[in-house]
Amino acid sequence: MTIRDHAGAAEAFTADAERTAWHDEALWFVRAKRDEVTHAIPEWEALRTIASGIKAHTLSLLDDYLEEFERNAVAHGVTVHWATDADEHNRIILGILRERGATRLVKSKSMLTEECGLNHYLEAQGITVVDSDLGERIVQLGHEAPSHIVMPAIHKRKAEVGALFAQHFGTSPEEDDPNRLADAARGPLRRALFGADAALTGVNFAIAETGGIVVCTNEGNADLGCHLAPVHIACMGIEKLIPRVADLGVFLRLLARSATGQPITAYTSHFVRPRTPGQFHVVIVDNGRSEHLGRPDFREALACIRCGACLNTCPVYRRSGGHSYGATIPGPIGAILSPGIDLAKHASLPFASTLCGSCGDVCPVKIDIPGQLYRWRQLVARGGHLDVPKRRAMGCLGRILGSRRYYEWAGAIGRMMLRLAPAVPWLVRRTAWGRERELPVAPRESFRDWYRRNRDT
Amino acid sequence: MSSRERILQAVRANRPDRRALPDLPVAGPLTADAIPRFVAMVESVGGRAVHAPSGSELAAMIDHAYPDAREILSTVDEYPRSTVQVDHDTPREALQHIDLVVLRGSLGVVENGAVWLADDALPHRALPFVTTHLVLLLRADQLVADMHGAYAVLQLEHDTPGFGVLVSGPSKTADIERALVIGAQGPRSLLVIVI
Repeated sequence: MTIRDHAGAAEAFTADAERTAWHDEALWFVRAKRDEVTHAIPEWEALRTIASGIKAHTLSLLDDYLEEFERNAVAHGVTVHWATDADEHNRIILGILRERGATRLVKSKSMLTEECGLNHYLEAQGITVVDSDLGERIVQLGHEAPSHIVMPAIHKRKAEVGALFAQHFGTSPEEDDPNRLADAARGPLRRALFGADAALTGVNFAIAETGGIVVCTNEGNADLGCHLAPVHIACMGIEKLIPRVADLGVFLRLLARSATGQPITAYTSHFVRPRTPGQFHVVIVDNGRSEHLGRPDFREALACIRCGACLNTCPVYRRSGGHSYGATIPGPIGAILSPGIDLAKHASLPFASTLCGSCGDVCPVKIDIPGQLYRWRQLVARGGHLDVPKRRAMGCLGRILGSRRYYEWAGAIGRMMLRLAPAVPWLVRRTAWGRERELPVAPRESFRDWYRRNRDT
Repeated sequence: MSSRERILQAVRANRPDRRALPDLPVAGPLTADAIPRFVAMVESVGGRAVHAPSGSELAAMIDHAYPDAREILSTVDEYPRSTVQVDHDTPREALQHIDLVVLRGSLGVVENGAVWLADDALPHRALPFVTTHLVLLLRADQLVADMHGAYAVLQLEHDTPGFGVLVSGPSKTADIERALVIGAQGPRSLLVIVI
């Protein structure tokens, strides 16, 4: 694969200019809401610093905290499982379901199970999987992956949702009112939630001190699932740990405000013991995270709390859509996590950025996303994953910018070509860089020449 | 070697040098206008909130707000109108058509309008989620200014319930073109009564 991957995939999205413009504005609106509510908290910056510190501390003692979490969870009657990779994660879940003869699973939002390809795995084994979050259900019915980690179906217009619901929920094909569409999905989703043999949730925070987990939703679907089904399975990456219950005070103030501009999600559920009668399983997953922890330049990304603020603010994400990233986690955070999973496959992602720095500015746990994007670019180049035109151009530019003589010479040639060779603008417009750019009118002389003539006057 | 050992060993080998655990912020002060601010916050998250109706007035208010409620479960003395009985062992089918649930919260958070409900307030954990309409009663002296205050009062590290939830507004979604829809899979309305 080559560096054109993200840009190439983005072309499919931007071909629909109206959709691109809507997507851009819809996400910018969320960013603006985030600004409004965060500015109302005078201690916002202090909270970010503390949150970043808590995560850095936790990662520095992560093995201890994992053991503490397990000890407390087990003491509270929770069954704890460990999975080194996606395959083991999927097998563990199938095992839990099989043991109870469960065939109907409802899921609330979990990017980890997306990462592990759980749905396809279970469906191939004869398990019926229903994603119970409305946005997740929309992309599931459309046989798509989420395009955003908080708003999974943000790439879909309401008419498309209407067409999907007409097919599955019997609404009129013309129906495109979000209220009526959501209401049409309510019945079938509730029926699935009431009829499930097991419920699976993600984990927003796992607390070492109590062995409990916290799940945040707006729809209430996670709770409906796991308080009604006889089995609750919660899946978490090892990086979800925080040491103390009271740390939640910091993270919950940051999470929803950063994600959607809400002061907190509608439901913030603290699960500690299984319900009576019922089983409660927690699956702790590594799947490359411990390896990432060993990369000093990049480990900080494990502090991510999946709020999606960096997606909403990113000028590239907003205009290219989540699917263009070709990774489970899109956007700036995905662009620094995915190369650690497969550098060759995701080599284009660190370049899906203008390095404007906005992602780092809004990150509630202060991950230096732009810095990491820049550092990944060096590794992509060093690993030989740049495509040929970019590699040649970069090599050439490096030589020119590295030598005063070459630089002056190249400037003179460039000015001359722009003036004298009518083919130059035409050629430049054929390149990815030049397609949307106007070439400047060439000045007669360089600043250096001008200065030489004028410095004594 | 078990997966558990493999993961813990890899983490141990790769973890960075020890970093200090920061101190947490102290709880913000509860201001004189805490009640109106809490009421306004509940409304801004899509709920309704009222302050201080007394005894019989309270029951009449709930009656008036939900005239069509047939299946009702109330755990509060101020509203002795339950028409169904629910406990841990109630089969889930029996929870499917509950119209109204009235519960007592034990803490309210001014900065986000959230109300804390834990196992001791829940005959069945699913109740606040399955019902069409949810009413929560809260005493004014149970308000805290912010989330730091909430966890300072709850002290979950010493005595954790098996389950607890902060409820802020009714069930909602914005998954179709970001349009806010109140009443997704859970309650279509929330009323918080501060007494």
